[in-house]
Amino acid sequence: MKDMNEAKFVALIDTYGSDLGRWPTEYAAIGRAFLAANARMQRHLDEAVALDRLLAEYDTATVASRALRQRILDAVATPADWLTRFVDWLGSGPRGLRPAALAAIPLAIGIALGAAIPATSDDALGGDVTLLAFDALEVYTDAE
Amino acid sequence: MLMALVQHRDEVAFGRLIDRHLVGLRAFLVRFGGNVADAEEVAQETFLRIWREAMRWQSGRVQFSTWLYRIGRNLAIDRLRRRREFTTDVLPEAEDDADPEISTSREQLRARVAAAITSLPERQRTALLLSHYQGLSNPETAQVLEISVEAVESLLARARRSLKQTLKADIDGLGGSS
Repeated sequence: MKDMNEAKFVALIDTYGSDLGRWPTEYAAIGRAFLAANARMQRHLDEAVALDRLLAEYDTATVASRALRQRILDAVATPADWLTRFVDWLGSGPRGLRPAALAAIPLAIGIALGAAIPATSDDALGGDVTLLAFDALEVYTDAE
Repeated sequence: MLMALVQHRDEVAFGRLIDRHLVGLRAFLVRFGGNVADAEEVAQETFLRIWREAMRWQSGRVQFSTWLYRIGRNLAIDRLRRRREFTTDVLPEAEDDADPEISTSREQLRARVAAAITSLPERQRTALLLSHYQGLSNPETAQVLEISVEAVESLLARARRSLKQTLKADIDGLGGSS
């Protein structure tokens, strides 16, 4: 007990809190004995208990959202994983959604191809139509 | 060992690593900065950093949780620093970010505790959060903060003394002093 005094007891409470079970083992037994022998120490312990109760009020969610987990996994997923997940989704999604999603694939491919192929200018197209028109007229004239 | 698999770009193992540590990291970051949205963004960035730099982690040199909290803390500090360049103060927010008028006394108490913790100097706050809430040992906390165990003990003692002062009225209300 010679290694323990009020200042040291209070310092240990400040460092490790009110639960003597969380104190380092070399101090816990000495602390309990010192507390039992010094009634004044209970006031310091009560104060620490009250602080620990207040700290317990600052709770946070004990489960992280599935959305946060998925955001992290999506950020590291490779393209192959995306494809696998899409196929899995098609297999597990609502019945009405699966045909709709499948039907949308050709549409998406069409849009992608349309965007990828260079657009023909209106003037060039117009010229082609005009030439075809005269060509047809000439054939008709020759026939007469 | 999950990290060994993650080092081989095993995304299933990475998912299990997230399942094991995300809740704790998120809770630490919410209390560290007092803002749920920021905490979740930092948690996400922390795990992405771990994925990108998995090869830097060496088994046996430092525990994974220690490495995780060290990265999370550093990213959270950077974020708070950037935010303070634009705002003069960061007020602690409630967990659900949704209640501008705190309606019950318990919520008010919670907000006072949150504010008291958030107002602690950063290293005291980190030491308290890791030790008290996350259950890290003092040597583990020392590794996160890259300081000695004795320095951690000093930080913890100063943090608790400061909180006792800040929350004195509430402690007295709970019968914590006579």
